[in-house]
Amino acid sequence: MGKKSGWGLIFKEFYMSKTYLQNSAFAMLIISILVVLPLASFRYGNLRLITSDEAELFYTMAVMYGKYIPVYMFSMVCFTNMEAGIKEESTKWKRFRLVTPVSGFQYAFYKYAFTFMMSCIMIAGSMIYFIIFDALFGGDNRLGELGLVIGMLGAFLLLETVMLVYGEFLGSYDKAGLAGVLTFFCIFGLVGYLFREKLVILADFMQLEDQALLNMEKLGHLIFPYALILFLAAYPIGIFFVGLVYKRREK
Amino acid sequence: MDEYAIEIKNVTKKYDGFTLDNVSFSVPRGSIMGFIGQNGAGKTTTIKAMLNVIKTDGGSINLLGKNWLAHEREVKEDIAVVFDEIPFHDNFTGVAISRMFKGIYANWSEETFFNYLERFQVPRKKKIGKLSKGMKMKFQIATALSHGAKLLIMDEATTGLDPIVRSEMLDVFREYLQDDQNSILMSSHITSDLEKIADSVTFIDKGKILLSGNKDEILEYHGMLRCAKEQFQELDKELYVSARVSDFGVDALVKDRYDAKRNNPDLLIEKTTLEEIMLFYVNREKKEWS
Repeated sequence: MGKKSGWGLIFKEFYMSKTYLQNSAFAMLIISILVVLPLASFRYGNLRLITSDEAELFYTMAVMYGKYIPVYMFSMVCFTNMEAGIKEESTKWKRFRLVTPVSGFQYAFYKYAFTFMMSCIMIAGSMIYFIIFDALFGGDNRLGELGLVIGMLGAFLLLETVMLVYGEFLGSYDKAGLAGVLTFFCIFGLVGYLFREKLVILADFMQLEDQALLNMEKLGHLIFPYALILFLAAYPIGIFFVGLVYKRREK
Repeated sequence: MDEYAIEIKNVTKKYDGFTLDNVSFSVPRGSIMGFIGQNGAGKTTTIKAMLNVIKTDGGSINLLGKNWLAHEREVKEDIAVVFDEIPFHDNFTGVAISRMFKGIYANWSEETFFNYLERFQVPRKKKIGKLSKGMKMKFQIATALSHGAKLLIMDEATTGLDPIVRSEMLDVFREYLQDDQNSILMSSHITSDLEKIADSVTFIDKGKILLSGNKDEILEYHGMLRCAKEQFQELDKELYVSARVSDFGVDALVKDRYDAKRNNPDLLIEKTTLEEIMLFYVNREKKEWS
């Protein structure tokens, strides 16, 4: 008997997401240009000539959003599983998957292996973007930046897992999106309530003042170990739950 | 090596309003079985049970000599399934499918797959969404025949195809069967195709197996008795499966035309077709219908 190559199934995830990845990368590029150009004008161009306090505050907020919104857009490249799920739903792929010699857990493993690869690309790309951004507009808190990015990725990955599980249960990915978001926020709300006394410390960082960006990156620095655990734990959690639903047979 | 490619014994599956009821039949290795029945008879349910796509409520299934639950992964390496619709997204091409299948089947052969695509005149870089219905089915069959499968299971795979394409596919299946270790289970309600190619036939209706056996024997022994209404009134009701009564006369399906002829030498009894056999068995409970 020959040998299977797991790359075949990783390629499948890539191929199903190709259009989505292209569109996300393009959107990220456009957004980056749209946010960086005004900032560059504030720093080096005509907008620099405006010297009011409001302009200063506007610039501070613009730097914060300009630094993280493109990264947020870039993070979309990691969340291709819903896109692939919607495409699979339109065909008899689920039934075909059940008649192949690949188990539900194996399909889930390769799905998340692809997501992990995209996450690594996204993290590396984000750090390069931060280095360039900080060189242009100031800032230097790599651990804080990394903490925010991987924390966001870990949380979104868990959200996507919830959506995938719902998608398989409900048989519809349209409903799964809303159901997943509601469930996710209920869970996080519950966790927040249970740990509310410990989370009070975070209030100091939630100021939309001129120190907002600095505080946010200090927060990223503080939560980095937890963000890393969340990010790394999201993969086995996803493989487990999605593998379980992939094992389910038809009724 | 086990003599049967498929052995199903007393398989049961209950739904609201439908039950697969103690289904049993066997497909000898190296042969092709036609699995016939009208829409909703239980063909797809039986196939899904065979492939462990649904859980059964009872019975046992052996595929290629192995229990289908205990050796599921192993058995599925040697089985290919062709559905009535292609299960791959429209964006896939032949090249992309081949790369994906290298991760699914240990014996996937890209060379064999591309040879089939070339033979079927399906461009390997054309997206599935741009192919016609017939070409999509050829594409799916090419994937099924390219990983060394010993058992090919087709669920209404030729439905909706034109006669030219169906004939081409039947030729491919005959070639596949030239290796006498290969077997085919073909579910269909296009009985004319099965008459051309099947070695055996199993007929299912309302979840029950009504007939199962050698196709030539079934066709040889079943017959269509044709007579006037007056003659029909004198017939023993046990003689026929069901009868279609019209103003012009009566057609009645008999299980043994030789026996029927011996007992009724004056009556016309002709050979029949699988389609008529299916039609008359479906109406067996009515006994007389029009």
